[in-house]
Amino acid sequence: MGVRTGLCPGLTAEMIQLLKANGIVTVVDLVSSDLEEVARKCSLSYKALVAVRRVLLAQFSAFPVNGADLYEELKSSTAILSTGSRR
Amino acid sequence: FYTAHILLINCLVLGFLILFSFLFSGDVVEFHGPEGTGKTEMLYHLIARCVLPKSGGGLEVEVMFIDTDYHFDMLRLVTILEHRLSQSTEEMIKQCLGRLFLVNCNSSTQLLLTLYSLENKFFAHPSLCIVILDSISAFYWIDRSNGGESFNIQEMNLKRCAEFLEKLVREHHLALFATTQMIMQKSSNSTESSIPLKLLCEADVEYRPYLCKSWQQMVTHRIFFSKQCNFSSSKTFSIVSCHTKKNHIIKCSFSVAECGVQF
Repeated sequence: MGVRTGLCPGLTAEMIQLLKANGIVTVVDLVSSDLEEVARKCSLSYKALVAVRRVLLAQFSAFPVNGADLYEELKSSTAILSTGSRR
Repeated sequence: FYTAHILLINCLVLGFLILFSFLFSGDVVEFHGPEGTGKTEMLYHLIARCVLPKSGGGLEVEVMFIDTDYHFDMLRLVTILEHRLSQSTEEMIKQCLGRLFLVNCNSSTQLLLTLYSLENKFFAHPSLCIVILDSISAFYWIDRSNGGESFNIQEMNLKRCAEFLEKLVREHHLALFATTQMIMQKSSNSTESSIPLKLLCEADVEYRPYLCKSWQQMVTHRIFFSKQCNFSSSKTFSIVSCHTKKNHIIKCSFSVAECGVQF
């Protein structure tokens, strides 16, 4: 997953160029790195980077569901069909 | 520490509440074995122990279940909870299930990103102290194929996942339970295993490690699951628990019934 424009609102083309120049190419690279260091090396705003990281994580990570909610959903969407087998 | 190891198994078997938090915090337990040996069923047993109220023999703690195999069976868990509760009302079941969080991941990249974003969850829920990952080996072949020729690139995602999991376990005092499939045959090269060969032979266990070193080194207890051959028609399974640092083992048998795992 490469970092590119349009991925999230705060991510401008020049930000991407600066990040690429410092070895940050994929979403995983950006999200795993120490943002303070990246802000310093790429002369980017730390706050902007934190905001981008938050948006990227919200976009690409899976969302946890509460068990009780899942159970409710299951009850309303599951039907048990008999196969007719006597065993 | 030898007694601590026995008590870990006892906790699974009998659920000694008092010792749970003392023992488990910081522990990384790996359930290893071929398919059909009861690993996931044991996880349901563990979840039930955790989410049931204290009056029902549980610990009333919250559990984060990360499912990479997409085979979590909610109805099975509900059946087990119903059998454990003396009076299982819909309300009580929902209360128990409210302590469980489920998340599905479809790739090692998504797993890594999900772990990063779950960090906030641990800050917000102090009673969330158990993390279950079923299974951590799900993307092994996909990662091998995507990584090209370089072992480093192949293992990169899982290595980062393992390192971040270690950080989460340490900072939030969690206990991590992860399952791994036995996808490799026993190797004739004994130096590959972190557990002494003599110990493995004694335990009658086939083990060939294949996941990255970062994961292997952070595991504190490795529990081997296997089918037991016996003459009766009921299927029994056996577990052999190995403490990775102290090099001692405990063996135990169980079977799976309608109401769950029975020792």
